[in-house]
Order: sequence, then structure tokens, then C-alpha cells
Amino acid sequence: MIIEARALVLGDNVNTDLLHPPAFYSTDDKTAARGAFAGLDLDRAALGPPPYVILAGKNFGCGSSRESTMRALKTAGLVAIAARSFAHIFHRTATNLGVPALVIRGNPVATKTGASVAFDSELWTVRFEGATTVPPEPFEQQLLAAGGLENLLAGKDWQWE
Amino acid sequence: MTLFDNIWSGHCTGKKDGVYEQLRVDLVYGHEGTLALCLEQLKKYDGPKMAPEQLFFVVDHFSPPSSGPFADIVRDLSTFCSQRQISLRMHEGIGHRLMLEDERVQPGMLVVGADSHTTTIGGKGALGIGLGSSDVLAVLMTGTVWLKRPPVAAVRLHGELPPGVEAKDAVLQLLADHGQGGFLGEVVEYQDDSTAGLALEQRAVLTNMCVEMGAVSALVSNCTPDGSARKLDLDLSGLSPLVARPGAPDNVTPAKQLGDVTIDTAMVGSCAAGGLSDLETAARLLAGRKVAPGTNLLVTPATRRILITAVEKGIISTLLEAGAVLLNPSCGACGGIDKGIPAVGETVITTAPRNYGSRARVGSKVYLASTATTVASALAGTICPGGGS
Repeated sequence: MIIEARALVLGDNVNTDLLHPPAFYSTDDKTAARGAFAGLDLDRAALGPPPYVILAGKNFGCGSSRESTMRALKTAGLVAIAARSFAHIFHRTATNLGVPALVIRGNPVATKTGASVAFDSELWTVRFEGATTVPPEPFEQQLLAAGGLENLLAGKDWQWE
Repeated sequence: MTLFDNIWSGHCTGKKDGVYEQLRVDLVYGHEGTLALCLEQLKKYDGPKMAPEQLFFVVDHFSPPSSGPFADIVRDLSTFCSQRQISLRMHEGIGHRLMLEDERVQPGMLVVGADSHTTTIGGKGALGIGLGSSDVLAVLMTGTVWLKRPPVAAVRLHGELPPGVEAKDAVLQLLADHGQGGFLGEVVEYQDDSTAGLALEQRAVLTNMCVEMGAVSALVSNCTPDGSARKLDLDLSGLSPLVARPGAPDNVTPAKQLGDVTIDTAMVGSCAAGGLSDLETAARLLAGRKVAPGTNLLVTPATRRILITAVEKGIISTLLEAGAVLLNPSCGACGGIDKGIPAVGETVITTAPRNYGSRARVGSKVYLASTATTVASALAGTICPGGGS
């Protein structure tokens, strides 16, 4: 299915404290979602309503491992992330929650926050002007297809094959 | 061979899926803040399936809790652990530093933790890898983890730290040279060829802040890397006191070139400091002197054992007589959780590993520095280099 989403355009080294300041930590995803993107200098009127796809630079999601960050972003309507590269924990956590974290291939034409981008939720690709994304690894695809790590493993009585 | 290669091959189960490999996990670290995000699932699936002696659970973030919701989180984890005969180290100090002290964590082990700074234990030769709560849930249920094998960046340390210069300055130099993503996806393996050899507490600072450089983990080892590793070199003799300016840990400037920066608060502590050697450095600088008027100096010993030793040695009296505020061992003052939260517009210098814009508080300005530079700044009321400069 092709989802027409709105782009949230960010730079390099965007950390989890900016994406979701620690003060908004909560074990309840809806409560945590109030802090989604709260540390960014963001024009919310330009961004518009969800669903969202983040387009970012290098080392996206660096910093704290708090999973409440990614849960808050997903609850706020984030459906995919395309970045030049990802911090290790953040890439895993997004995938584990069924949100594809995709590496950009090509030279994207500058896209503005709020612009429309196409996300293919079956092939896990984001297409935008001048660029697309690399497909996830097969191991990651099984997590995404199951809707996340917990769904995958709970359905198999927590046995890896 | 690197130490990393030895640990990796010693923990592979042989199962592979493309670039991912399955590894057996020796120990799982977790604290109340991140375990709370998978506690309901652990109850639902009757976990954890790993043996209690393979779990290293602590309460160190909400320690003690500063709000009702935090108190409920601590109570829920405490109840869960006591029902399952799992040891829970409550309010004893910062988990990463407790693992440095604890004999259960041994060189060559693979430890995963629900916290990015799980890498700190690389200072004693154990491979610590930070993960999110979903991953940690799966590890607790299966005893294994699937990882992409990271390449090794071997960093040879040689020479000797000049007086007043600490391992923190070495990390800040690496951040200045290579940036926040400079070791992205790699494991940093430090060869300590320094003249005197770095002490465990200094080694742990190097491995702690590998996360800020983008690394998956870091180790200090005596192995000689083979041809597969990327090789770098750092002469400790050439280092000087550095600070990272607000916003990012790679925003690095020599402390003496910073100009006149007035501070409101100085903080010594966190998983990137707060060891006995840090408290000794602070006491040496503060003995018989006073913190600058209008400046707060907050000191958080990293663990209870460190605090007890510092009390016995008279260090704590020296700090208090100089005007320092003593906080109990915890993560609170570093994580923007409680104690020492700055006012909007205030300036902080800290030994913590991070100074991201919204961590302590949106609108505050946080500088990172060594213990010596942080304490020297508390005495002056403005940022100035520690020690021998």
C-alpha cells in the first residue's frame, strides 16, 4: 500500500533528547506522545497532520536508548524514517516497533517539511524527488512484516526457529 | 585478533540470517526507567527465562523517586523482582558503575543492557551493548541477541596524560577530531600503551563516551589488532583541558580559549565520572577554598561504595566545607530527571557524557568537561581549565 505522508526534514546527528525530551518520559504511549518532536525547533503549522515520514541526515537517533522516544513518535503518526545513516540502538528500536528505518540512496532534491512523500508499506521504501531508499535486510523484513519484534516472537512462543 | 573478535566468536551460536548473527548473552543489565517499558510484557509472557544470576537489575534513575509516577514505577519493578527472586540493587548507585565494581561482570563477557551507556564496562574488558526495551525483552525471553557484526576501530593510546588532563579530555579530543558519527556502527578497541597505564576509572570514561562518537561499543584491551581493523592513534601527552560547548558533545574547544563564560552550576558525577579518583581530584582542588559566590557545585558519587570510601578518607568533609552540595549516588542530576535541573537561560558545566540541547532542560546551556576543569570552574565562577594549565 502506498501511503502519502508529510515529510519532516531534519539534519545530521539528531538525538533522541531532541526528538523526545526526557521530561516527557512515560510508560503510557499516549502520554509520552505529547512530547513527540518537542525538543526540535519545528514549525508545526508547516508540518501539518500525520502520517509523517522523517527525512534526515547522518547518525539519526543518536543518544539515549529510551524506547519511549520511538513509541511516542509512532503514536504521534510517524510511519517511516529515511536517513543517510542511523545510530545503532535507534535503528533497531524503530525496526522492533515495526517502523522501517531506511537508508537513503541517491541525491535527494531538497524537500521541505510538510511536502508530500510516498511510503510503500509493503516494500518498505520511501520515494521522494531525486532519491529512494535501500531495502531493509531480510532479518529486518521479517520483523517489519510481523509488525515488530514482540509480535514476531510471541507468535512463535519466543523461539528463534 | 582483537579482544572484540575473541568475544564475538566465543558467543556466536552459529545461526546467521544475512548480515545478522545470533549470540549468546551472559548478563542482562536493566534499570527501572527502561525495564518499565517491557515489564507488562515480561509478566504476560511469564519471563524472564534467563536465570536470576544472569540479571543485573538496578534502581538508579528515579533514585529515590521525585514524583508519584516514578514511585509507582519503582514499586512495580521491586514487586516483580521480589516475586521472582531476582536481586534488585535499589539506590546503591549508577548501574554502569556498579557493574564496574561487581565481580559478576568479568572480562570477555557479553552484556546487553537497556541503556546506551552499557558500554562503560568495556573499561574492564567486557563487551557491553546498549539496546532498547523491545530488544531487551527478547533477550530476557531467549537468552540470545541477533546483531550485525560491527567492524573494529583500534585506537592506540600512548604517551602520558599531562597534569590536570583526564581521560575525559582524550574522549573530547576524539570527538573534536572525528565528530559524533565518527565511529558510527563500529566497536572502538583502545590499546592502552600509555606510559603508566590508565586506571580502571579512566578507562571506563573512554568506553562510556564511545556512544557519543556513534560506536556500538568499546573495549580497552591488550590485544594487537590485525589487518582488518581501522587503526588510529592518540598521543595523550599532547592533550590539554577541553570543553564541549552547548548542544553537542563534539562542539569542542580548548578550555583556555573559550573566553569568559559565567556558570550557574557545576556538576561532578554521572556514569562518565563520579569515581573515587574524581572525588579525590575535586577534594585536592577544593581543600581550604570556597566555591565561587553565586555558583552551585553539585557532587554525585557514582556508587555507595565510592561514597563510603570518600567519607572514610575525609574527602566528603573537604567538599562540603568548600560549599559543595552532596547528592546521593544516582543518575538524577545528569539525566534531567531531578536534582540540579537548571533554570531557563542558566549555564551548567558538567562531567556528564551528554549536553544535548533538551536533555537537562530546553533553554539551558550545558558544557561538558573533565572533573578538574569542572571543579576549577566552580571555584572561579567562570569556565577555566583544570590543573596544570
